[in-house]
Amino acid sequence: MRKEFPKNLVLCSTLAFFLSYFEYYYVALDGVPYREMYHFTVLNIPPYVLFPLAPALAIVAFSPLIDDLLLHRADWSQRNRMIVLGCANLLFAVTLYDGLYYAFRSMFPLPTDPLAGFWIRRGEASALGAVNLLGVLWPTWYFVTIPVVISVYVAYYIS
Amino acid sequence: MRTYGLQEAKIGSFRIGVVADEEPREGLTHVRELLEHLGYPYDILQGGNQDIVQSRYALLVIFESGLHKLGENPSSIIFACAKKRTNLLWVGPGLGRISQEILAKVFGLRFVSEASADSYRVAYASSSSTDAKIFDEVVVDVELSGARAEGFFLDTASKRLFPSETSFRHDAEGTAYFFAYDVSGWWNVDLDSPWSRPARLVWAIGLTLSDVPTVTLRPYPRNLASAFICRIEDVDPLHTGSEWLSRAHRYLQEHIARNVPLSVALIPVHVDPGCGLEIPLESDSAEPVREWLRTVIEGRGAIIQHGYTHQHGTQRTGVGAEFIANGTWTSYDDQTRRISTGKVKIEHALNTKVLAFEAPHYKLNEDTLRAVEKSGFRCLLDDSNSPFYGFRLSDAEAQAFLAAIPETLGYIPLGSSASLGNKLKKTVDQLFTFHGILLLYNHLYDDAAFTIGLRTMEYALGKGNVWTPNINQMGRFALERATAYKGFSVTYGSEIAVTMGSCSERGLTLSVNSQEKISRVQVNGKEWSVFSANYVILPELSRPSNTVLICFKEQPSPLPLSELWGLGLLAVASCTAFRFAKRTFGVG
Repeated sequence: MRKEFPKNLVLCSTLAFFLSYFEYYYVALDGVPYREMYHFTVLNIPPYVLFPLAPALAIVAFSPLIDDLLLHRADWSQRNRMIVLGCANLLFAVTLYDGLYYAFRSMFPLPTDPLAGFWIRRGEASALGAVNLLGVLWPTWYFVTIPVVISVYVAYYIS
Repeated sequence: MRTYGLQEAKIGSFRIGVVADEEPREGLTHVRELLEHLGYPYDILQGGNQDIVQSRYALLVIFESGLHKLGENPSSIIFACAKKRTNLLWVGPGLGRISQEILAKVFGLRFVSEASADSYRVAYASSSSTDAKIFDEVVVDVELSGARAEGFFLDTASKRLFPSETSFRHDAEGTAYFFAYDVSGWWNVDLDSPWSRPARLVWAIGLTLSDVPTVTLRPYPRNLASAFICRIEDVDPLHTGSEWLSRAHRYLQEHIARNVPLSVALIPVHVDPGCGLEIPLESDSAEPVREWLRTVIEGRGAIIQHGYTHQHGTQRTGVGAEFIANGTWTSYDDQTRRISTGKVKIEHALNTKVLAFEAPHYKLNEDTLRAVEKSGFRCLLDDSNSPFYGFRLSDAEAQAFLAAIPETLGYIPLGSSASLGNKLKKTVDQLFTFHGILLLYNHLYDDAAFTIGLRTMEYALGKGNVWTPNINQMGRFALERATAYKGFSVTYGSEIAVTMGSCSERGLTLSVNSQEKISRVQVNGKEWSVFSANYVILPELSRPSNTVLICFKEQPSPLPLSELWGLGLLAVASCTAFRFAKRTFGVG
């Protein structure tokens, strides 16, 4: 697990970066990113995030666990740890994926994007809304996922 | 320019009325194309004095030719409209037919006389932004009686003569603007400043409407300010010289690098009857130019069919017009045969769809248009002396079947100097101010043409917010937009409701001039994104009649949580997660 964890983290980050890049620059209608063109009914989350994007990230995040389950390698206490690490990796990947989308838009925008240069705006946050911190809007769910991810990683590191 | 709050506006509709005779007149055609291009809803007024007053147009554009529609006493109708807070824009001569009393009250002017420009020694109309050359036309001499002079006539020695345009805010709080010359005519005639007249007219319309909440349909998608097209002209199967091809390849690469496609006006057959030469596009010798054309298409470019042989009788290709010789037009059947044969040849040789047509030397008649329509073209390259989209209507359905795209920047002649580049930049500046089409055409005859063309393209792109379609994309968008515009109407109260026809192109943009910010948009009853405080980018409009509701009141959406909430959430999540994680990982 010690070796697998950093590898898995890098893999999750790479996939999140790739998916975010792909969504912002290529999932566009006549140059306007799809995410900006549609209102989403389920929790204000684009349907392609719910499927297949989130499951794809989950598969990568839980891949060490899946690997162990298939090879019957680990005991139950070890598996619990892997499940928690897998969850943390998934939350990290989803947060990174979402944050990178707005980072691309604000820093390296598509020339055809009407919201070029904008970080997240109020109406774009998911159902949980947004928090105004230091004059910048942040989706509220980042305030849950980021501390969870950091806590799990720290606990894992000092264990 | 001022903006106007909706709370000050009563429930009503936003439309412009044009008081002019409908018989074909260049000026009226220009005004119509201008209003359609800039997306103002308008009517050409039919008689009925009271209707005009009651309709409460946001702006009345008045030509002398239409005064008879205002009844026997146009002065009183104009005064009644002004009292109803209708803004007025008078274009050119005829002011003498309005009583001096009304002129003073409504326009803040006193009429002196009206005569040819020569008799006053008028050479230019000079305003703060531009100088418009005055030609052999009638101008009006007025004295200011409260109005503000927005420009003056100058003589050849640049001596100020009398006002060329004025604005006046009358007692009913409306604006009356007056042009002492026909600003709707003589477009693209002054070689130094070809588009100064439409620029002034657009500016005046904007000024008169600045106190009214307006909604316009922007001419380009996604709120883009202008559109740049580069057309390579008169390419034929004999363009196989290494010098030209090398230049053309370099030119293409420079454009591809900037994501600007080329549109190539292609003559499918080169003939020289004197030498008994006939080289069709599919011949082996034309392979180098075919290869270049294929690269153009791969680079998002498009092919424009430029006649069939671009010659007539014993002339060689490129010398004469094709469909007219010695004042006699070729028959409809012959034109149809030549156009459709050429189209098939190009499509077969390049494996592409050809949807744009340009008549050799722009010489075409009604038969040409019918032949073009029959052959399935959607876009016509034209020299209409207008910087705006034009449309050819199908007789049967009165629906636009051809989008006419004008040339606006002219071409680069052989052996041009750098001064031409500077002139082109000035013209780009002028066109950009009023969202005119930027279409440059280039034969690429020499390196100067290469350099000037490239610099002009870079200068246009440097303006920012410029659309760079190929000719097919622009034609398709213009036609779809025209269908949406056909049913365009705007009503406003506390919200703005816009009705439009169908449009299969995404990205149509409604621009809203209001003090208040757009807070919510609904398209056909469904919530839609708010892209900006003052414009709405629309999705595909699939219904024959579509409604866009633009709201300004803040919607009851959740306000962002405060910093305290955020930090609290952070702390709670950290503590809980860390305790849980410690237990899971067995940390003491």
